Amino acid sequence: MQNSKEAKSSAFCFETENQIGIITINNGSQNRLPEPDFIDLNLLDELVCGQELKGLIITGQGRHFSAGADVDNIKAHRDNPGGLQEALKKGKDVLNYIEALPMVTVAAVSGVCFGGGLEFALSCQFRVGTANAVLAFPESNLGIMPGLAGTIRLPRMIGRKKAVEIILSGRTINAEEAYELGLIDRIVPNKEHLSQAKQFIEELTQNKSIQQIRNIVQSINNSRLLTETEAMDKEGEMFVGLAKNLEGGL
Amino acid sequence: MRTLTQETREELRDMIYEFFSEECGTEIENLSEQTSIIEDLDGDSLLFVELIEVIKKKYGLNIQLQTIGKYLLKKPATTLGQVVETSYLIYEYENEIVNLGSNE
Repeated sequence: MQNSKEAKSSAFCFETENQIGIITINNGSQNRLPEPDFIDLNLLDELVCGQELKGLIITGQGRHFSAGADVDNIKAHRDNPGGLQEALKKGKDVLNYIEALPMVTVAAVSGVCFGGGLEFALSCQFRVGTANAVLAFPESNLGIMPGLAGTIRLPRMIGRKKAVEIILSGRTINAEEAYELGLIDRIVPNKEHLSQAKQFIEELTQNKSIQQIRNIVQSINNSRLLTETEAMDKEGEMFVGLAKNLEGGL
Repeated sequence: MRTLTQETREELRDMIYEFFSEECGTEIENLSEQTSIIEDLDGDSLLFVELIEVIKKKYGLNIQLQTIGKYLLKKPATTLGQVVETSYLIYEYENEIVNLGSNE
């Protein structure tokens, strides 16, 4: 069932299917990110919050997830450090927003997933990758570094030592190694990344109400975003809210 | 430097043809040494990145993407035949491939 809300911007499109939102990076064969803030946060919020979603998938149009930032655009900004930093901040706000969503978030990765593209994928809770997927932070080989919180999310996910090695070397990581590192949660056959990501969300949310899904994920997010006392209080409130709808025993 | 046997040459060639056949949705019979990756197969340079990972994994090669990038700047591989020839050199020389062009 396709429907409800669809939107297209210059480099991404959004659609929903069976209460799953799908953001597709759509910018030429390499899906380069034209600007760090190429997704407008207000528009994204309107699209995501305007409907009852149980999950969100980020993927790339065509063969590749994304080859990362458009380096020419970064060069064009080099004499305007304030503007570049502002654009990076807006880009990070989008990724922080995705990371904090109270639903199951999955990056469906095929082919190349480099730099800023990988930073987008890391903002999701899960990553489903094809057998031919190749991940990398190649920025250090270009004289720069990740700028959309890659240096923060990668070590959080795989540990500081491994993150330093991967980011400093700029080397590529195949799907198998990414799985061993915990960067990819499922390796799937080539070209099946999107269908498998949908299936993954369906399996995880089967027979769960939207309120349950949202409360559970929100409470887990709160464990990182709030103080422990606040998170526990919120968990209690959510529990009480869900208990009102309880039918029969556990 | 590794020794490239006839058997490995054939294995590499078959692997590359299968890779492009699957990725570009075309029958192997339609591919030849003259097939252009970009013009005939609507491919792009990132396909080469994927292919290198497949080859690296199969043969346990020590080769960095930027090394191959530097080599390809000197010796571009735009046809399937050129990709196969480059893969032979990658197998034989690994990271040392970057020094090949400088002696020519």
